[in-house]
Amino acid sequence: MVKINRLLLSFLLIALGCDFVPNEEDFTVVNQPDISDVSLTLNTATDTISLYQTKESKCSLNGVGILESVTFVLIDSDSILVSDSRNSFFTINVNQLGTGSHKLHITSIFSKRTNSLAGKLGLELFSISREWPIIIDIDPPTPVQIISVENSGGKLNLIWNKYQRVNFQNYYLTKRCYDSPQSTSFTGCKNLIFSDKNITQYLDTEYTTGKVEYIISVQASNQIVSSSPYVYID
Amino acid sequence: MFSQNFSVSIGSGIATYSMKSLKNFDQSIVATDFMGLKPSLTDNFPPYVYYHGEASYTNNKTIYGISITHGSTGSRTTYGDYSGKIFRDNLVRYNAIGLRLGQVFVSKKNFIISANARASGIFNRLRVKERLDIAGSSIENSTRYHSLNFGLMPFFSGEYIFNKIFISFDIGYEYQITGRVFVNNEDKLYIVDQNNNEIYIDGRGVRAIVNLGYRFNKK
Repeated sequence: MVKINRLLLSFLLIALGCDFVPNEEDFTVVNQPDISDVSLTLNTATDTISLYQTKESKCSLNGVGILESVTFVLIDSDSILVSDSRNSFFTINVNQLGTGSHKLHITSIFSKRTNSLAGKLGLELFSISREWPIIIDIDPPTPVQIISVENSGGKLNLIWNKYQRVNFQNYYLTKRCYDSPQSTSFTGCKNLIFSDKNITQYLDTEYTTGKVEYIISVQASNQIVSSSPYVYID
Repeated sequence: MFSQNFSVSIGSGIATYSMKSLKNFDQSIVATDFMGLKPSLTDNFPPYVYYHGEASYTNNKTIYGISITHGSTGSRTTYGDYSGKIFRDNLVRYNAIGLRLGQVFVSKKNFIISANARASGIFNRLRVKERLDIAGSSIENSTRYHSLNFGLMPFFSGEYIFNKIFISFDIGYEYQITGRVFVNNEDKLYIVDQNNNEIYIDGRGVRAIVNLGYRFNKK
């Protein structure tokens, strides 16, 4: 009798626990979307951002068929902007960051129209990230020196050291002309500006004879430092 | 052997279900262009296990019984790809109370065959469950319905008796009169398809079951 009761109880337990549950699943093969046309660009021409002063920057998310996007901009892991626009504007504040190497990291999460279920619902999300090194130099410039002044066929060829740091703005070349080698007060003056850091020489075609003095100055981090005067007497 | 006796039994069997109305509704969903995606009907009210318990009284080859039955079936319309899945499940469950009237027409020492009919009140529950799974998140919505059908099932029963224990095998076909399918707690709302035709839970079909029972002989 006990065995029968157990058997009946087993039947009852089975009866209570076995309702129909659909378990089949469809799987349709859909090609995953191509996002190789999507890119993040910055309004800086170079891969490295060199700064000596605070700069407004613009990051653009480019690509076809992008529906919505959120862009996160971080410098050294600190968030500085979250934007839902395809074009994100932000400020790199050099005074906050200070002189040294930093890292700009930009990630965009975006949805794109695709042929998948999530794509049809506008819920398929993709991510693209890029990093740019930032080199900031806001320290005062170090002076460059005139290495040599040589007479070449009646013209004076000046050569100076190249300024090596990233905060370069301009070279200023000052020329002072004197009436005689003994004279201490100059009679004429000429100033030239070179905005290319790689220019390290100047051919003075206006030199005739006598005493001239050259001073090369560097403007960097919005400050100017000058070399020692270089005196040339023919 | 059965001049007068009382018995109880429980059993488990297989039932098929017509569900013509719900199947047509599912087919119309499959045929619908869902934002350019093509869903599939992966389950379509298949035959499924049902359970039955009965108390019966036999008096001079006539069988009187009262029974309860529980069964279930369902369907699934689904679409899935690498990005996610969408499901629409129709889950039908029912409980029935039945009255049996039978007549034994073959009687051997330990074996009898009877012809029977069972009239039932069938309380159906339909749960329409929709689920969207995308990126590890799930959104689910479900609506519950109910209906009352009346069933009549002619069936044959073969019974083998070991002392007081018996095993029986019943097979028959249940006809049903379908009732309106109402939304739960909204007894004025009922279910229709896109063409405004009423949808019914039509559980007619074959019933085949094995029962295990105990017989109390009356002296």
